[in-house]
Amino acid sequence: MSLNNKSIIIKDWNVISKIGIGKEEFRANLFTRSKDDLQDFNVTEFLGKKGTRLYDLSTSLVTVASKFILDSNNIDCNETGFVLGTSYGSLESILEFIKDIYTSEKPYFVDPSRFPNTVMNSQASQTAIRYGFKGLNSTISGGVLCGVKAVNYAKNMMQNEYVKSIIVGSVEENSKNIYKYLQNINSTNELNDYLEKEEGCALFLLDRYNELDFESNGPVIELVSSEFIFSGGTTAVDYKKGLSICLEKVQRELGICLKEINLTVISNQPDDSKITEIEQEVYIEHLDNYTYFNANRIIGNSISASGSLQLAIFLTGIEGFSEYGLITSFDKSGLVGCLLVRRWSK
Amino acid sequence: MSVLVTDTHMITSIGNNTEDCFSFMCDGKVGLSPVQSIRSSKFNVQSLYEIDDYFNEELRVTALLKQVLNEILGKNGPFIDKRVTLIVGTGLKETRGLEKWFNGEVTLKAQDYNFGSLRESLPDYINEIHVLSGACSASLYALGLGEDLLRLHQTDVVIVAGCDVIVESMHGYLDKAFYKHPKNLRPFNKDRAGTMLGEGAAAIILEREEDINSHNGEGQFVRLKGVALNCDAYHETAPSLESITNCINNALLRANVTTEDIDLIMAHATGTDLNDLVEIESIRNVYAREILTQLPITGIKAMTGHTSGASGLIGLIIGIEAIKQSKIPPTLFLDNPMDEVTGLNIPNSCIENVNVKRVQINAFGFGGVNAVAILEERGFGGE
Repeated sequence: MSLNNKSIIIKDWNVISKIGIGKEEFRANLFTRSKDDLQDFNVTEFLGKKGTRLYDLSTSLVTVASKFILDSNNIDCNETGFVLGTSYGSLESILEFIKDIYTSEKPYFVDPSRFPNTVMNSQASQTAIRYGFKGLNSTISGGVLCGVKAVNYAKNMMQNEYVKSIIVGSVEENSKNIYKYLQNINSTNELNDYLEKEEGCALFLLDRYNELDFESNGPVIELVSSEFIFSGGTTAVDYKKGLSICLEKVQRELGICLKEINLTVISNQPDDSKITEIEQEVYIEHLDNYTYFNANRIIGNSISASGSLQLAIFLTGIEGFSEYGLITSFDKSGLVGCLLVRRWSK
Repeated sequence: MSVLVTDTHMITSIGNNTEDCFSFMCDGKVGLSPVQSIRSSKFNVQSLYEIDDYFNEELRVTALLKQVLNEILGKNGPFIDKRVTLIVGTGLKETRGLEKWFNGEVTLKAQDYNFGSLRESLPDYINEIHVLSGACSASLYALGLGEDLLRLHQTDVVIVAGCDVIVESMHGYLDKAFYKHPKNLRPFNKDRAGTMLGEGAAAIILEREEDINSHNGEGQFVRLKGVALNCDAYHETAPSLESITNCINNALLRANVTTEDIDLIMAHATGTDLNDLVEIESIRNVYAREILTQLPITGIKAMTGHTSGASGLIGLIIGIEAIKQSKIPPTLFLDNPMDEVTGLNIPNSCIENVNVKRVQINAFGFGGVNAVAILEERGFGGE
């Protein structure tokens, strides 16, 4: 395996999470600090008032993280696509709109200017509108796995030459205002589990490898492979089976033995869960030289943002992380996904 | 490497399978009826293009999606020793379920919103499921992803699906936005009054041509020549002429065909002031005048309503049937055509015995997300 002009690389990245706004702060606080949440995140501090009045939190996080990337890279926006993973778009915006439909005298007495926020692809399209990203614009849904899926999707699009570059990542917002609806709703609901979550956004600039990248950016991060599998069920045992198959597929696809490489696994499972225990068994079976990093303490139950935040943690390049990074995800429907990246040093 | 569409299935307000839908469209059947799945009496527009079923389902669009998938998988599955991927394109996901939950009518799990219960209803041989939210071009975006996965050999069989149902919030928005309160959907007419929601679910199977040489299906399958995807980066709801023009040009380029090769354009044709104008203008930007006097352009939404995220795939399936059956369904109710379509060949009744070898399918969505696909009769061209 070597880098060539078809290799898809992560040229830059940035992040907004409760432990840091921007990648420097994120890296610095990785082991030290924990904020409550991003509810007081003020988009106007970064983008000014123009055009931001109707932004919900998801849109704010995505547009600001995009700005961080744009500020430090020379990007041809006309030839750039934007791919975002999100479970709900902005659930708060959607529910606000639905509330108006049900509580107005007539359901069509809604405020049409608020409608765009309720469309599930609004974060991706509003970001494209703000910065002029005219390449493909996709929103990938699907809970915990959507961060990893979005990166995989964007890599495919790059390989099939839809665009020159893509900004890809995922976002999650914790819409605290939803509680006020829940209290008013006289129905049993099971959406509560969704509310106990962390928020954040990480984005990555994908490009094709160029030899000059080593000169300008230091280590080059290559997107090597990703695999997804339905494990057949939702128990820890199913996860074990699914994760094993994923790793075997990565190995087959690449024609390398995973036992022969130095690898850091970035997982995101509650520390005390049966799944944490069982995934170790899989790694012990399939890997030899690996370190294990459970991101749960840092990013918690960040649902659709989790895959991209896990990747961001690997990209901080802190001491102890290996040449290869393996991001793993498992969702409640039994889908397992993983993403392998490689850090090339000159 | 070529990708073939090996089977299709769809449910709309006018029929419960591809054959019926196409045949009824050619007959000019209209699926408009007083709407039952939402509180219709509260709206100005009270008739829409609703599928007359599934009213007892708590999660109606999920039920509809499961139905089309069960049908197409029942007919074609199981796929032994193959990696099978499902990609769903949708504009509004289970928003109707969310509305009913808000109104205390149903209980809802968080994952239900993303069709979470789909997994357990599907056979285990489906290894991957992806859901794309992309407004009204969602299912053609899903098609593009499916084509990519096959080209990159990341999977062996792709099921692409599209689905959407009528939701109160979207209908409420349209009811407010279109002050003329349309009585029916009238694409390309001077007096078109806006779009109207329809319901639809569709699914197709994609496979690599090289993998199905053992099939005896020569001539039955249609080749997917290429899909172009882009974004206006201009306005949340208004389309951009330049960007749509670029998308069409790019689709022809990716499909390695010229405007002279195309025999039919399946237009997005939503019946809104702006879409219809910009769509026709973009086609005029790409196609020479002498081609356009002959080339049939049709849109089916006067019969099905605007099926949102499903509409791209439904247009694609109609394009496939046009190739197979040598018939083109009409742009119904085109009796007062807007000036911009003067000199174009937009049929207001079915065209029969027409040789259709290649079709362009358009789908454009809120957020400025555009997708254009090109189909080709198998046994013609190739790579």
